[in-house]
Amino acid sequence: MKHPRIRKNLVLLLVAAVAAMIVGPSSAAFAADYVPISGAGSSWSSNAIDQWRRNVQQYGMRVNYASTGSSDGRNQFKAGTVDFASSEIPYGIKDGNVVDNPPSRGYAYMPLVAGGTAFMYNLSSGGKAITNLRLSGTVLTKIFTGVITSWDDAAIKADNPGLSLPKRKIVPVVRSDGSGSTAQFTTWMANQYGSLWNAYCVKAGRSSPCGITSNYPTVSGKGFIAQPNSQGVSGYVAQKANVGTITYVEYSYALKTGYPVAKILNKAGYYVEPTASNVAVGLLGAKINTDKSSSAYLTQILTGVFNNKDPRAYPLSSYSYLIVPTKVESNFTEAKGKTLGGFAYYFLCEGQQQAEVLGYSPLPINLVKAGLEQVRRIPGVEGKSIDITKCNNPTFSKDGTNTLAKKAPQPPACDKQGAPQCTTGTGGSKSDTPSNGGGATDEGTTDDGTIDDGSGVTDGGTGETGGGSTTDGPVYCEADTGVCANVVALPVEVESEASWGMQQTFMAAAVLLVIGLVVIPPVLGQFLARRKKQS
Amino acid sequence: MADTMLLPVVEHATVLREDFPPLETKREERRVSGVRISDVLSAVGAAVGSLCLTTVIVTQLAPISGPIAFAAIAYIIFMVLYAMLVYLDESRPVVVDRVILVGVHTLALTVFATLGFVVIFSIVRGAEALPFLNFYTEDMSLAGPLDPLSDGGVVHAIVGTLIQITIALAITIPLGLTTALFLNEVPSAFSRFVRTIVEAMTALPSIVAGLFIYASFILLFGLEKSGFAASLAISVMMLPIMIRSADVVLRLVPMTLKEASIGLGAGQWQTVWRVILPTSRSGLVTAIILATARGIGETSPVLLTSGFTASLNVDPLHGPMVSLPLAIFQFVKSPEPTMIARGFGTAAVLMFIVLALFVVARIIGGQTIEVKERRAEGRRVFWATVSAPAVRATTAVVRVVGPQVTRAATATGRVVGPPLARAAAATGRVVGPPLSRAASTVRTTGDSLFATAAQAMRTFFSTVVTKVRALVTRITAKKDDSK
Repeated sequence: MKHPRIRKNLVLLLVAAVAAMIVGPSSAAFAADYVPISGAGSSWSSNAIDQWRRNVQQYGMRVNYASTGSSDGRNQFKAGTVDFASSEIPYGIKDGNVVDNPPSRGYAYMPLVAGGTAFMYNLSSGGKAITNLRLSGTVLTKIFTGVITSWDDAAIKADNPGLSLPKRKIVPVVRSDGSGSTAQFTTWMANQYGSLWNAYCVKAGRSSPCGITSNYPTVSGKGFIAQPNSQGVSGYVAQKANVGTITYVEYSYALKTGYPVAKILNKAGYYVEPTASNVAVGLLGAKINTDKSSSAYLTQILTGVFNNKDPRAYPLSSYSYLIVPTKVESNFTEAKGKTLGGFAYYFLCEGQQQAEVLGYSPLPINLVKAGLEQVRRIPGVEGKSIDITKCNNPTFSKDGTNTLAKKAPQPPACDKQGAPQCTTGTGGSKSDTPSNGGGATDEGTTDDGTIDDGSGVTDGGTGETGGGSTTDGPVYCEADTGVCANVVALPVEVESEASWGMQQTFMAAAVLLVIGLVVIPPVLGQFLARRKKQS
Repeated sequence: MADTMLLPVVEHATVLREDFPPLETKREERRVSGVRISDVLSAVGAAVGSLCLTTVIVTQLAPISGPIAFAAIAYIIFMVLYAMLVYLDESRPVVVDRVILVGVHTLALTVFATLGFVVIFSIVRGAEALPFLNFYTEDMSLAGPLDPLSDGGVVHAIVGTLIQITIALAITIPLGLTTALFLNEVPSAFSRFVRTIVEAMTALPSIVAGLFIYASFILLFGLEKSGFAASLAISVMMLPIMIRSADVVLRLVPMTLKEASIGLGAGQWQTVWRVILPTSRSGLVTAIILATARGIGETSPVLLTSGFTASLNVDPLHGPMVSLPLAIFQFVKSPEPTMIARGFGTAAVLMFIVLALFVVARIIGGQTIEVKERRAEGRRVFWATVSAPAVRATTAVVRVVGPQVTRAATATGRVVGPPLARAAAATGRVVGPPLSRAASTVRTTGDSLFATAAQAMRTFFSTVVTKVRALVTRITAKKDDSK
């Protein structure tokens, strides 16, 4: 009779212990007088928000953020289920054939974090990965609109005189879900190469002009691959077997997966990488809608960024917004406004210090100033008059100029259009790609393996650590003239052919013959022996 | 007993006559079980042969690369070689038998290997995160993308999952089991309709369940995004599975048992409570397990309804609460390798929790009546052996102390007893009869109410059906007229 009672007591004790364990730490977290707030939206900026919400936890602020995609974030903010949203594109844009109406609740945009759209690719030639691909805007647009379909296209070769490009099909990998990266990329294409982009859109069954969209249109049969999430597209490109793929994704994904990104040609004639400083320089050309009466106040006008004449500017630079409420409505209260304001003050100033480590670029001074003004519109905020010089934002110095843009290194000469390209790796792939020397007559320093015809010397594999130079190998010198030539031809990557030819038939026949050689004799012997026995 | 009595008779009838000439060829009996050395040798030989042959083909003959292609070719060659080896010393039916046996075993192995791969893959990828003790005791509120694995953990997701699944079970177990009972005990047009609806609901995409709760409870009723809303969405997913499998289990209860119970005078309710539910207990637990398995791993309904937080939240009614699948989903989306390792580690934790829950449920549900009695018997034996000396000692003590105590007690009793007894008797006389009357009324009312309700439902639906049918006939008649 005693057993059940003891067991019951034990269970009660356990429950109490668990409850004490659970309640203990959480009650401590509420010590400061901040009310928890929740937001949702862009997965593009989620890495930064995730770090910042961890940092403000020490002040007792609890910020919950769900990275469900910017379209979902805008919808949820409209429905009033979240206190703030983050997005790359503002409300009111016709996406596909649907207009995203602005919410009825009071709202304002605030710059959140800047970054460049990177083009991560997986390409190899002669068994060695190519890490220094350069692309001009036209070529890039043509690749993502299915006009250029092979990696050895003359236009790509023109951008990359130092590379021997394989004859491989280009597989553009795009986002299958609504995403901010798509919106940023299509903004650029629509602005710069409108006719190419619109022609593609019409083929995909959209109306022209196509404009910005967060859902990339795909045409079946073009060989485009659609994958969900940044993780999906970068993961697809990062698969070893998927050589020939290229995708647009946040720079941080290319850094972490260890794959290179394409250098994009800017208006100054330099090919540049989307590093934090290059993006910050690019964004100096950003115009901001400063018409306070406009509902699109503080939305970006990026034409100046795309056409930035600075040789360091990365043309596909942009920033994402935080959408904040300006009225006490739905579930939003003044107490929540206080937390949101505190969070905003943090990320506009100190938070930007970590932007670069996280794979983003810090906001330049013009955007921070405008953002600080927007914070005051949040109801319930503790208005701070922040001295811009003490903001601790790494992009501007005490005198209020953009430090990062000043200190940003100029691109090397080898990144200039027409010059023999740099061999150094990009993105997450730091290994060099030796030049094949084609057209690189005046290079001198990095031309290992260049055939120096006439002199009879081949300096194969001297300076390079990779040793995988495409022209390494046996050299044949004619005895009478002393002219040397490379015996090994350039290895060309060919995709396995889908069609069934004579060669394949013979291969199959050989395989069957081998199997037959092993199987048929014993089976035949056994069969005959049995027959003999029976008869 | 009857069988054993019959057997000798049969044996006598089939005894062979001694004077028959022995058969020329002795046909060997086909063995259907047991393993012979030759079976093992031919399998091993075929495996080695196929490996070598495939290596030759892949490296020398055909332009094939990749482990999957290698495995596929090796398997085909293995089957061919195995068939050949068996053919060398067996007849054709035996060869077919063996080859099919190997084929079936491979399929079973493939299923097992898939499961093993999923489990091992997530453990291996999460191996970086799993050894940290803080992974099980901390939440992510003080761990961001840049923090190492020695900071932060998933206790918030573990607690969230347990709370959400507990609430969901509290909703679905009573609702699901009573619905299953209704479907079985009250057969009518309505119950058939409900069954159809339940079957349709099993195919409901999980995101729709989330959308339903999001649209109704969160947008319309203004409920916060919370653990409770997530539990409701999970319940929508779990309910049809539980009803469906409980319904099947209840149908398996032998009719004879129910008839016996009713024949002994039990009402419908008593039959359900005393006969049907205990008989199908283990099956019902399986139904609950199946529903839990479905609910605990759901991401999409939770995604829309629970919100996301990195902090521990034990209040299911207020604030976002994260569950393990949602935490995995958010972790692996990050570009940071540490976050991805956390995601896979969380997947391993989720699998472990599911396994633990299943083992517990199996232990509880596996208690059939026989097992229970065996355990009770064991306990009795144990107490008899252990307590015998104790009893003897007690008896001795009692024998010594007893008489005095008894005497004292008797004395007390003589004084206190009579008034007490008188009072009790009086109370009993007053309270007793109405109480027992009330009890019997309740019992009969319950039974009759159950029957009446069932009857009413049946009549209601039959009238509805007749009316609809009449309407249809009238309409068709009118159509004919107009023609």
